[in-house]
Amino acid sequence: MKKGIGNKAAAWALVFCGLSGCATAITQRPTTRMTAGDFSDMVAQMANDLLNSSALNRRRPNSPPWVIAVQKVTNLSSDVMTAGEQWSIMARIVDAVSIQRLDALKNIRFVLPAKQLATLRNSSATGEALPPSFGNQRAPTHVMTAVFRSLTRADSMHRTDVYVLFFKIINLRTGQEVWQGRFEYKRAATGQVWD
Amino acid sequence: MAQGEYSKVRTRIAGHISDAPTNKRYLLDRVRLGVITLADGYPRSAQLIFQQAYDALRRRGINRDRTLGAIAINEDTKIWKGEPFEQALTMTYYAMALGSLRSWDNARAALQNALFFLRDLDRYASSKAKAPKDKALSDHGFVTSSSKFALGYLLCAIANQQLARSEEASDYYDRVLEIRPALGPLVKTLRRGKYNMVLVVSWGLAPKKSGAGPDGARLKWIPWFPSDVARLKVSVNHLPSRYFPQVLDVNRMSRHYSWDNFKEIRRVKSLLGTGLLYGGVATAASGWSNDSDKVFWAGTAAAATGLLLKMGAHVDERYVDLFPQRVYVVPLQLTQKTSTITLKIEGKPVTRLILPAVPPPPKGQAVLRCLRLIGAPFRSRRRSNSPPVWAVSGKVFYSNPYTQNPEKIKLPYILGGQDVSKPTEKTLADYQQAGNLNHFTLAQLRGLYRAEKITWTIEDQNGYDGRHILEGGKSLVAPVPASVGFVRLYAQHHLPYHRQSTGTQ
Repeated sequence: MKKGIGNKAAAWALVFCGLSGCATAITQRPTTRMTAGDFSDMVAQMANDLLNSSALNRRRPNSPPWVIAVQKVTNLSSDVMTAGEQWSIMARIVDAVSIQRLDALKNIRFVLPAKQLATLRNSSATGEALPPSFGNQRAPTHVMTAVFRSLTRADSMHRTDVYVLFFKIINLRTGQEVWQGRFEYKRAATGQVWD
Repeated sequence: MAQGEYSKVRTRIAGHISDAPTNKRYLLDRVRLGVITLADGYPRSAQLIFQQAYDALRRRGINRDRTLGAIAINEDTKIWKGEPFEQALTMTYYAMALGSLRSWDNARAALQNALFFLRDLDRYASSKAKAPKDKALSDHGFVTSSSKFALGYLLCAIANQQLARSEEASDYYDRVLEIRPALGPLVKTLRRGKYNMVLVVSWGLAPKKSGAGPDGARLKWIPWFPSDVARLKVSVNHLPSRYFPQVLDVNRMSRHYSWDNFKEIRRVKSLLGTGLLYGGVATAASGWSNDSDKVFWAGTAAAATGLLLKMGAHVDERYVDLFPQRVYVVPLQLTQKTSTITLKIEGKPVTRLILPAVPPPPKGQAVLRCLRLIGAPFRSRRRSNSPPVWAVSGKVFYSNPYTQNPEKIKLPYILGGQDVSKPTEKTLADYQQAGNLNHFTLAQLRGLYRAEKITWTIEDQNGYDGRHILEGGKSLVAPVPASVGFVRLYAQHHLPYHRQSTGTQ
């Protein structure tokens, strides 16, 4: 008798659960937003492209120094990227290409851009403003930029985003592009857009 | 809200907000909190809140598993995601928070998503009604939406202009002119590009979502603040006033951009429920009088089912009550060291607001400021038709991170002074130059604040700015200039600080 009532109660609970849609977390719903995994794949490919590029292959330890100021990603896609994400992509690429190795083998260094340097100088994060001379010897010779673009196709039930990230290293003196890279991926999601 | 006490409103919402994404109000409360936090002059906090809302809105079909429950029980078993116009406004507010931080590339992305929501609804509606398809693309092909959301197009044009994407900006400006020719003079001013600050001025409250008709089954948006064509009067530094037209009327937007896909289901439930209820009662009565248990219980069951159906036929009345009724856009070129900006909506003296000590934005891209004017649409015994004294004082009584008044930088507020700047080396040096706290170190000064449990960074407050110490809170984070929060805090005198810790100097 008790077992019968218990089974019936469990059955109704299941029905109720099904009706109320329990355990349907927003975080599990499909979206075409960029993910941490996308960034990791992108960084790995870009770093590899840069390391194997002809621009770097030709360089030796006694080549004229390259001091590359890194800019944050410019987001021209249809997805919002936080400032942290925009900086972290570039920071991870710089980390991935092994700064120490490049400095010793290719005479290349990566430095902060002037704008972020000024922010750090005035930052109260450590409670003290950094001295005005901080970073004075940067003297960048090149700049590395990245632009994020996307192509979106969407209707009430489907959305597809194709993201393309373009990287460039430009010689600041001549304006010449010494390296460019491209990474592309596609994301699709289905489901009612307003629900 | 009517008195501009936005910090009280946001503190109340923040106190009840749930962190569980499965909570049915997860998104709704975040949108409400983000709107009021931005209105109070805290764009960094607002941006973090809207980030969570944006992530949720970008997910499709979050109520896919709840459709059966919504039909069988009621729509309010679903996770609230808002009407299309509310989704578009949420994205627009996110864009405004980003524009306030000069992150125009991200603001552009958020606005494009706002326009996507409405474009998809237009296409959905036109596919149902067999109406003509989208109009031809604009000159350079950037504008693919055919919605009438002028505010979205205008802000998108401004964002593109800040990114030096002139062709895309031009297309968006053209689209604004196409749907709202009356905005011609405003668009002309913006196109010239001679502005370094954009004020997005809002007022009023959005229409109320309500159920009407039998069992409240019919969706109705009831205007809370009536629509009109009153312009916004703006003067800078007592120069001749300029007048700006409304760019958005949310009363009208709510009527055009609602997605009532449950309309027929609610109507059927109401009709069926009424039929079952009355039929069931009649059957039960017949069974009772004929001594027939089967008929009686069948009638009772039918009546109970009918009652349940009727109870579940009402409209889901959850909505974003803190969206404004109207929005104006004001481009300004501020060049003086500080400026005083006066605003008022025509015919509404209670909306008058003076923004004192507004500094010019740093060189480079323009900055956006979101301003929520105060005042109710009607006069009542409790509510005056005049703005609060602080709204029109035009003065700054407390030295703060944005307005350093040498007369007022002598002592911190918590020690009886009129300075509410963060404790830094420079602040301490200013106090000591005035002959105070001469034997203090920075660590000791900060210790004073920590003993009172006062924090001065957004990180120390878990990403959310609490109430300011001038209003009895524990935060020293200052609202940005040209915001209601800035004026309410610094343009009036507050009670002296009451120290809670003991044993400190």
